[in-house]
Amino acid sequence: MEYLTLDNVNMSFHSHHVLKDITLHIKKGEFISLLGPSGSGKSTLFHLIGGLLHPDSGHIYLNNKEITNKKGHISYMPQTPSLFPWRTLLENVMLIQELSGKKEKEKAIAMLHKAGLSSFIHEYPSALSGGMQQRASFIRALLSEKDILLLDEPFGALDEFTRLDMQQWLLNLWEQYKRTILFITHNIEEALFLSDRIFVISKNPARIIKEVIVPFNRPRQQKLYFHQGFLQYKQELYSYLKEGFDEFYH
Amino acid sequence: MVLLLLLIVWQYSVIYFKVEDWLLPSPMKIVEEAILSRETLKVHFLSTLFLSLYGFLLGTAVGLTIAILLHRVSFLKKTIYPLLILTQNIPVIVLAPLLIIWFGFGILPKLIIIKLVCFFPITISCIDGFTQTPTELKHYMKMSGANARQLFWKLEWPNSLPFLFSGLKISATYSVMGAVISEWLGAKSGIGVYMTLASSSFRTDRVFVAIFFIMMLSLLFFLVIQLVEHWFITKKGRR
Repeated sequence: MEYLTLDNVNMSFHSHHVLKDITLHIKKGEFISLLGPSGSGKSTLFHLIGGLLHPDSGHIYLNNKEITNKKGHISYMPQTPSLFPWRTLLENVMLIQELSGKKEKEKAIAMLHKAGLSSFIHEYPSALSGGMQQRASFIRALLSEKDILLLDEPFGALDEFTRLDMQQWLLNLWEQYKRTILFITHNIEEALFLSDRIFVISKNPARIIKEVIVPFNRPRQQKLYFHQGFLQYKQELYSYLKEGFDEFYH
Repeated sequence: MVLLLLLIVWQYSVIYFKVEDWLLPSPMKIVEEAILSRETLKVHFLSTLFLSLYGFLLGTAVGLTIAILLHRVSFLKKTIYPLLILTQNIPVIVLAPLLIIWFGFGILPKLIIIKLVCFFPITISCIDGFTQTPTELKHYMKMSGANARQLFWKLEWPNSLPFLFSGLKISATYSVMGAVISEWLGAKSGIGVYMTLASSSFRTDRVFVAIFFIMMLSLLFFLVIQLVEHWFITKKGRR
């Protein structure tokens, strides 16, 4: 069953071609990663799906309905936690519910509790570490009623240990709540560890070079990192990325 | 400390150089005078206090309304913003007699004068606050389906509060100045009136008393606003 479809999406800013013929078919409940170098226009792709921008050509469908240039259909988690400093943690995670007018305080508290943030519910974001802020930001995305989550390099700014922790945490939550996730990253291991499928993306303009299906069983544990097959896939993905790079510089 | 030292130096140099009272009275003399005429001073002080308070409140209301209007309607921002700057280029002292000709000696022209000096810092700081909303937060709100109203009240407005408070602090000090100027031009009571009477009869000590009270009043306003700001922003985890 197809859930999110991008059909030949093209986008340019002035004369700069950013996205070229992006076509994606994503099934409900899938964990998809878009893997590519920084500055390859992946975030622009999210802004398009989120309806913030209008593509030059192409269409975007969600659940067989066209959502090209329509806002409010997806749930989004940006690179930075983007919590509002004047709201407590609880008020922050309930922000999206407020927009649609449906407040479920009990549910919010329960989820913060599960995320290990229960003692910070009434604290302001400045009292939290970067990792905790990102967790809250993810809970905020989960609490919106939307079925699809767009995560834009959510762990990019975290240190290696926190990042590994957060990946495992994210997987556990995802296995519980089964949302469709589109995940942007420039980290090969992260993409392999988390996703069902990976789309490798090139730079200038961004286009999809390769689709890789990740065969590892779920639930996944951190020891997967040292699995023989894992390293093989890592090598393979690396060579695709390098191909895209070489093409660009020659 | 520095203030105290300054007062001591002042006191002793007045005695040492035998400066005439009408030229520069000593601090002791000024305090003496303040205590002697405290009954009349109280009337003048309260009158100026309320005048500047009303003017300040009116200026804040007008300043906020203009800021919100200009921000929400981009067409207005382009056309009216330059006009606003022009209003600040006219010296109040020139405008005041005109307003008295148009509106008489009542409270209305005085409020207009105070409002004119007050609203500008508030409008400018508020608009700055609105436009300096972080882009990523704005994108986030829009992608999550927030409409213009929600974007404003949930993001841009709270974001501009620290900016608004710096505007308010400037305006509060201005409002006292505006009140005194408006009283110079004709009023029954107020520190401005007390001051004109004192200076025309060479009661320099009383002029200093007036200056002292104006400073006190400005400081009082400033402190009150700082208190509110502290409660609003520091308590809300901003700093």
